[in-house]
Parts: sequence; C-alpha cells; structure tokens
Amino acid sequence: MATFVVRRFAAALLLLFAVSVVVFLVLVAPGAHPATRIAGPGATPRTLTRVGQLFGIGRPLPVQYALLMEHLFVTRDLTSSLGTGREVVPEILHAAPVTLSLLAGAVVAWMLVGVAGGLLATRIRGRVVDPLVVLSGVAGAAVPAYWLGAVVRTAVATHRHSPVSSLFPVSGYSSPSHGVGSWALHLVLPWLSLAILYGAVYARVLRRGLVGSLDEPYATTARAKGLGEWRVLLRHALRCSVAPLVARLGLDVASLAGGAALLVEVVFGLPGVGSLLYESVRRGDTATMIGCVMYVAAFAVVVHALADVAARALDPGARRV
Amino acid sequence: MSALPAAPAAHPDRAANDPPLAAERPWRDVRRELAHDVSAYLALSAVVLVVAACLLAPLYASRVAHRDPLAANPSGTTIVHGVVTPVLAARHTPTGRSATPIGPTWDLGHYALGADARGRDLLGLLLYAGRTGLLVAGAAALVCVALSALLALLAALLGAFVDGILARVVDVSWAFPAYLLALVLAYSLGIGGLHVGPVDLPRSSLWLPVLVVAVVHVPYVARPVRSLVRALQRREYVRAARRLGASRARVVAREILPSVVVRLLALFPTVVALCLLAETALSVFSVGVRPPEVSWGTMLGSGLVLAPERPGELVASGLLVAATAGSLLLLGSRLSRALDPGVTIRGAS
Repeated sequence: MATFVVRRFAAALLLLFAVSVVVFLVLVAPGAHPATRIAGPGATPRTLTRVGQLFGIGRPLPVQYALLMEHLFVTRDLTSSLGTGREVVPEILHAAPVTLSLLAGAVVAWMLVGVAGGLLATRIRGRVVDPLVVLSGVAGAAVPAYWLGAVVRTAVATHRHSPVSSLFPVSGYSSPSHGVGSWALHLVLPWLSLAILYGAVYARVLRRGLVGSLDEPYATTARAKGLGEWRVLLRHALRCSVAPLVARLGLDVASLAGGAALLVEVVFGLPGVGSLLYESVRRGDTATMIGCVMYVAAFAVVVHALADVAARALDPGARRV
Repeated sequence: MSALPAAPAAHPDRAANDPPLAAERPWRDVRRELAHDVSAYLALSAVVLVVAACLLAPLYASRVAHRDPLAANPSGTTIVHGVVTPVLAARHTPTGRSATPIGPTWDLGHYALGADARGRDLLGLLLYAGRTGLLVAGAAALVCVALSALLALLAALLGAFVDGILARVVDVSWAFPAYLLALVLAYSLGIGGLHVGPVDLPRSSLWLPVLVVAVVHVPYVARPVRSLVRALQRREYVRAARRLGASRARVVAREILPSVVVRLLALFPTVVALCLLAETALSVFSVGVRPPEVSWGTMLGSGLVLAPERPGELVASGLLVAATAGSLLLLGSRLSRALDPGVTIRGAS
C-alpha cells in the first residue's frame, strides 16, 4: 500500500510537470513577440515592459519556465497582464472556497443520487425500469451541466413569486461564515444541476455492478442464510460494487473541476475559479488564465491521485495484490 | 493474476485485461445483434433526422423563411397574427439602449421560434449552426480517430519499446481534464491563428476548433484502440501469420488493420458526441467556433445573455446539442456492445 501511494503521487507530480510544460509552451513561448502576445493588443509600453520582465522574455526557455513556476507557486506574485496588474494568486485563493463548496456539495449529492438510484434500479429491475436507467445514464453524459443549470436558473428566476422558487437565490455566493443555511441555499441549484446528471450516470454504473454481484456465489450464500433481498444488496453486494464507483469518482471530479463546473459557476454567478477563468479568457488576460489553469490542474491531479488511493483501500481484492 | 483459474472462455494465452473481442465476421455480428435493438434504431433515426434537417437548411432559407438566416436584421419586421411587428423591440435600460428580440410566433416562415439578439430567425439559425457544429464535431472525430489509430498501429509496428512509451504517455494524459487542455490550446490559437510551415490558418478558421478538439481527445481514443491492437496481436491468425514469416509491417497492414477499422467505426459515434460537447463548451468560453461562424455552442453562449428575457435561444441550442450527443452516445454504446463489449471510451457513460 505504501509503495502504491508513493508511486501514485510520483505519477501525479510527473503529470503536473508535463502539463505545466505544455501550458508554458502553448501560452508563453511561441511567436516572435511573446510580450505583445501575452499583454494583448492595445497594451501600453509600461505594461509591455512589466510583462516582459515578469515572464523573463528574452531569456532562455528553461529559465522562463522556471521563472513562471516560481511566480506561480513559490513567491506567488504573478500579476495580471492587463492594466496595472493585480496579483493573480491571491485572487485565485480567494475564489477557491467557492469552487470547493460547489464541488464538495455536488459530489455528496451525486453520490447519494447515484447510490440510491442504483440500489433502487437493481431492486425493481425489469422491462420498464431498465431502459429508463440506460436512458437517464445516456442523458447524464450528453446534457451539458452548465446548460441544465442555466435553464433551471432561468426558470426559477422567471417564477420568482412562486413560494418554492423564492427560497433559492439564483445568483451569487454567501460565505459559510455568514451562516451555513444561506451558504447552502445559494448553492442548492448549482449542486443539483451537477448532481442529477452525474447521479444518473453513477446509478447506471452501480446497477451494472450490483446486478453482476447478485449472481456471485456469496450472494447466493447470503440468500441461503435467509437474508432478505434488500439486506443482501446493502450488506453484501454494495460493498463490492462501490469501489469502482470511488475509483471513477476521482476521475470525474477531476474532469468536472476542469470542465463543466467552471461553466456552472459562470451560469450561476458564483465568484469561483471558474468565473475567474471565464473572465480572463474573455478579456485576454493571459497571466490570470495561466494561474487559473495551473491551480485547477494541480487540484484535479491531486484529487484523482487521492481517489485512486481511497479506491485501493476500499477494494479488498486490490489490496492483496 | 496468473495464479487464478482462467475463465472458461478465455484463451490460455490471453492476458486477463484484454477486451473480449467479437468473432472475425464483425459486420454480420453487428447486423445480427442490432436487428432487434429498438434503441439503436431510434438513436440512429434521431441522428439521421438532425443531420438531414441541418443539411436542408438552405432549402428552409430560400423556400420558407425567404431570407438569409445568417444576415443581421435589426430593423426587420414580421407578421404576427396579421399585424406587422418589429423583430427587435427597442428598450431603454440603465446601461443604455438595447433591444428585446421577438419571441416564438409558432408560425413557420415568420420567426417560428423567435429571433436572436441581432434579429435573425432562430429556427434558420439553428439549422445553419447545426451544420457548423456537426461539421466541426465530425471532422474533429475523424482526425482524432485517425491519429489514434495511427499511433496505435505505429506502436505495434515499431515494437515493444515504442509501445511502452506510447502507453505511458497515453496513461498519464488520459486522466487529465480534456477541457482544460482544450481551453489553453484554443485560447493560444485564438490570439493569432496557426502559422506553421505551409499551414496558415487565420484565427476565425473552423480548422482551429477541429484540431483542438481532435487533439485533446486522442488519449481517450488511443487507449482503447491500443488495447484493441494488442488483443488482436495475440489472436491465433495473427500469430500464425507471424510464424509463417510475414513481416511485422505486413501483419499490421493485412491482418490487424482491417479488424481495427471496423471497430473504429463502432467507436466513431461516441467520439463525435464527445467532440460536439467539447466544441460547445469551448464556444461558450468564446474560444471555439468564432464569429461570423455560428454553431450551437456560440448560440448557447449568446443565449445565456438573452435568457432572462428570451430563453428560446438557450433552450433550443442546448436541447439540440444534448439530443444529438445523446443519440450518438446511445448508438455508439449499442454498436460497441455488439462488436466488443470490453472496449469503452471514457466519458461516454
């Protein structure tokens, strides 16, 4: 187990290094006038000089790369390539709790939806339910979560005066230090728009595993002992089918953090890293964009590694190998 | 793992993690498997319907709408219940003048679904946007599948060392969020276009989203294709060909390639769906398809702005993306189940 953990995190570091090199090569290095590229059209000579100094333009590429990483992760004083140059990293760290709240709540909600849905779909499987499970699983993969969120938000905003929808603020964020209730209410709609889709996919995956487990000899043994079908499902089959789900979870949280969740923030006006990234892309603020991408990438890679370790610990079969 | 008793159907030489492969007459197998598969037919008809509707967009423009859906029409009028109505209603807001486009009239040829912020017929625009979106997604999927197959076959051709490197690279990049990489690439290419050697693409070129979307999905596709190739390499007829003295190149070209091509076709709908979804997200970030080109993604992006007053553009463009991608994913999953139950692409379910 210890070797596995070390190897897994070494691989994660390697991936992060590769990604940072790619980001550097794609965004900073190319072209004849990198400073002009980074600062964007219409930059003042002062901004150009500042950007040139910051990124070490003109020095050898490895030095430029090292400088960028130093500004990003060590001194954390990378400044925006627009205007007077606000510091990027504090802005990202300020936005991070919003993004983490969104992701954490969404994961809890979708695991609940997925496990409950998967158990239910296994228990009442048959000609009517099975196609529905398949269909909702496909919809979960095909419907963009940010679009669903935007539609839900628009619907709630137009029916502002109905008693149910007036409960949910449709925009903005409230820190948990100002009351957990208000924090949760601000996030319910974003959570749900992520959780319903992923929950449907997870229910489908879990059902596939559970149906397989129910044919295993240990399930037959449990039934032979006189246990009820629910008990066989919950106490015996679920334990073996939930590990693949956890392994998947890391991958999905990673791609969610670097994908759909970014736009869900934008849609609901949550001031998280996704909104920051969105704004920086729209305004051509290369430095802020590099900062957001690298921090999101680091988060995604670490979460994935952690989930792999957790899945390993959960899966009795993998532990012995 | 080798100490475990082998499953009865498994070939003794086959590693336990090889995908189970269908028999050697894949076309017949697919036809037989799908002959009574209602969901596959439904998904296929939905895809054909959407593609046909988008292809017929010029017909709609010339015969039904009688104007170019892509041309802005800020001062245009249309007829609603016999009354001449402006397409954009002027409105004064605290930030200045803006206009509310007309909502759905449900009258074919008279802005049936309403107008967008520039007074363009939404229905016609959706059809033309579908052409662009599907073209980009389809081309990206083709490029992506071709690149992946090339990589996997090259690895098979060049032997274990290259194959090992490829496997490592793919395994590592496979877990990285594709959208983040796509965003970085598309942003960078969007600054000045792509000018490398004979390639000279302006920043508004449709080739840029095609290339970006294709490249970031290569690890997704190369991984299953590589395992496919490796499984095929252990097949008896491939080993027999080797023992008969056929060169590696000949074996790859004559024995492996034909089997791979069929199975790539089964993966294709899934890859198109993933590419369509990625293009949509990039366009919402405003670095995918760029104006003056219109795709469902760019419409979804501008629909977000318009949604509080006129949700039509947002709802319709997103529904089309979801329905098309969903049908393609369903079709892809039925096809690959019929062919090779073990080969799946990440993100498809």
